[in-house]
Amino acid sequence: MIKQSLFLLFALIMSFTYTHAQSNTDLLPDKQTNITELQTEYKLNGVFNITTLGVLSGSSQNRQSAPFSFQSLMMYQLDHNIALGIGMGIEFLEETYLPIVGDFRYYLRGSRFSPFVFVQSGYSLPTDKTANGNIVYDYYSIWPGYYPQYEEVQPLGGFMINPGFGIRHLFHADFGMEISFSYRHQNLNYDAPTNTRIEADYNRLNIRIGIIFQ
Amino acid sequence: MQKILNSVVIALLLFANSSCEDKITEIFVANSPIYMSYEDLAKAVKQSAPRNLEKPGKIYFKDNYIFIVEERMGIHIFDNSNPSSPQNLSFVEIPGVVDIAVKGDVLYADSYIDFIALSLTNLNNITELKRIKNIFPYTLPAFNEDYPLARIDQEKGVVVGWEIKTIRQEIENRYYPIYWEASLLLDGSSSAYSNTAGISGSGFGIGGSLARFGISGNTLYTVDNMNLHVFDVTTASNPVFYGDFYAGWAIETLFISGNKIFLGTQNGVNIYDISIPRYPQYLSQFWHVTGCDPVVVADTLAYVTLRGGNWCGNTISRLDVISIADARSPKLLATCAMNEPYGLGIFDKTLFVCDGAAGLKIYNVTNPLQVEQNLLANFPGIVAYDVIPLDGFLFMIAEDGFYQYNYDNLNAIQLISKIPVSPSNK
Repeated sequence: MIKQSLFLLFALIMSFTYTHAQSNTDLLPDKQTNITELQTEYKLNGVFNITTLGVLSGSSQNRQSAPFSFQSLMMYQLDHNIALGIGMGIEFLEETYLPIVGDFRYYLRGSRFSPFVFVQSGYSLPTDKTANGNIVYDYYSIWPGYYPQYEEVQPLGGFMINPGFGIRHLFHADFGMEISFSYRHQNLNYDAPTNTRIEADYNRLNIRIGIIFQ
Repeated sequence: MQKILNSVVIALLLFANSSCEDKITEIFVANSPIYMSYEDLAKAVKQSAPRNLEKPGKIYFKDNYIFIVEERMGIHIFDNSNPSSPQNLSFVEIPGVVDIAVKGDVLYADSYIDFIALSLTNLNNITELKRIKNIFPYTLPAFNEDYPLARIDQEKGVVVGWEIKTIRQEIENRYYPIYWEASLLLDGSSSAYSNTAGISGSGFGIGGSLARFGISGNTLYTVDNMNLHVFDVTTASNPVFYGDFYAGWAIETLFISGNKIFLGTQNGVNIYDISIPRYPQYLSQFWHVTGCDPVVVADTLAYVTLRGGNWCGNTISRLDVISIADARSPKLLATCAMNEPYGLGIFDKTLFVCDGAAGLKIYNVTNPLQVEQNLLANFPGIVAYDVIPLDGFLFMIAEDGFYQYNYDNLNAIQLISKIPVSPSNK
């Protein structure tokens, strides 16, 4: 029920912001007198959306070496270089999580083709009430005592931070694509029986590709 | 530009694959180990003032002296010239000691992972003669079972205790080959009881049924969970380690009779021939249900107690009488129901069984097929762990102390003396 409500809320935000964005979309030619420049210097203004797919790539020693990640950001272009936004996504780690993030990014050139740096931070909410106790163990020791064995643990979610860089290319005034690379640190917490708390720290290379539209 | 991008992607993927490892941490209240470094362990043996018994373990007799192990702490030495009033002479601090044996005037003991030899020539100045390191497996002391164990770092030293506290540790799925201490497993060793003054320079003692050290001629055998360790003690003061032999799984006790070693394991009794002392030869195994099982041997009969209802597994408690006339093919002759038997001892045709809360039981085993029908006496008030009967005297270690009895009259054994367990007086 919570999961469905969150998705519904997410869809409503998306539809509202998209409508709002359309009303504020503008094509701003830098040089009104130069028709070539007019065609090439697309710039985003106001609210726009970045929807990306990606993986959280890590060591092959990890239980999950490259879980899938989806994210949709509603951004606001403050000026030619700076954009701020919020977003939500879905990620399939040991459990399914909905990361809610704030995003700050700086476009180095502020033109149709521009490298950028960004940082995201937020909190990942679990969609599952329980997690398999095997979150902690790949196997059990045959010796008693060393490893408390958890039949069930409760995921609590956790904070994340995601600084990185990327390249944006606008094909049109209201459409473009981007690719980004970032370091993703994700902290996840679990409550386990016998007054035990478990912390999982993911350190991953986040590779994303997505579309930009207004 | 495309080449640069490709290079960046490949470099990042390689970086991620090699270094981006997840970290999982547990935060919980646990038994956190207290370590003693290996350097400190190597110089920890020292003689100190007499102490009261607190948690007595195995016992040993040599000449007029009684040696009682204070589990993992050291050894009490009593002058037993007058059995009715043993004199507490001294205490030798030996961290991690569980088992002892004496040959001549040299005492052998374990000290966690090390094997040590101590000179008893001058009981007022007991000194370490030799230490052979890393002989025994890394063991852990008893812990509070209400809490899990924190990770053990063997590089830091041996674990001498625990403290309960909240710990934070990264999860590592590793296999720890650590053996667990049997919290109630006591070990007796033996000695000949006599009225000779002083520790003689010759002869060796006789172990109790819970012993894990035993001497045969010029060879000392010790056993751990899996291995039989063999030492040459021809020169008592300079024991030489021969080597280890895999002897079975879950070995608990060792008993030497003639040229054979009987190893009490959780699943049976393993019999080895030690005609060639350096190279024990496997003869046979007598299987039984899983249980804690010390063994003693007299002539062609072995007596084994099985204690169930504990960490040893199973719920069966009984006394088995096994014929070892053919050591390659032991045969069960009779069984006798027990309550919770620990150690046992036999002298001539009298068998003494420490049956836990059911007390000390004494059987006439003239007819080994009818042991149960020949219960001579039962002393339910005595919660005993191990006994050594010898020539009319019964030495017994119990929950509340060390007892000496005279059993000349089996129906009315007489308490000669008791060394009680007392609170710490350190």
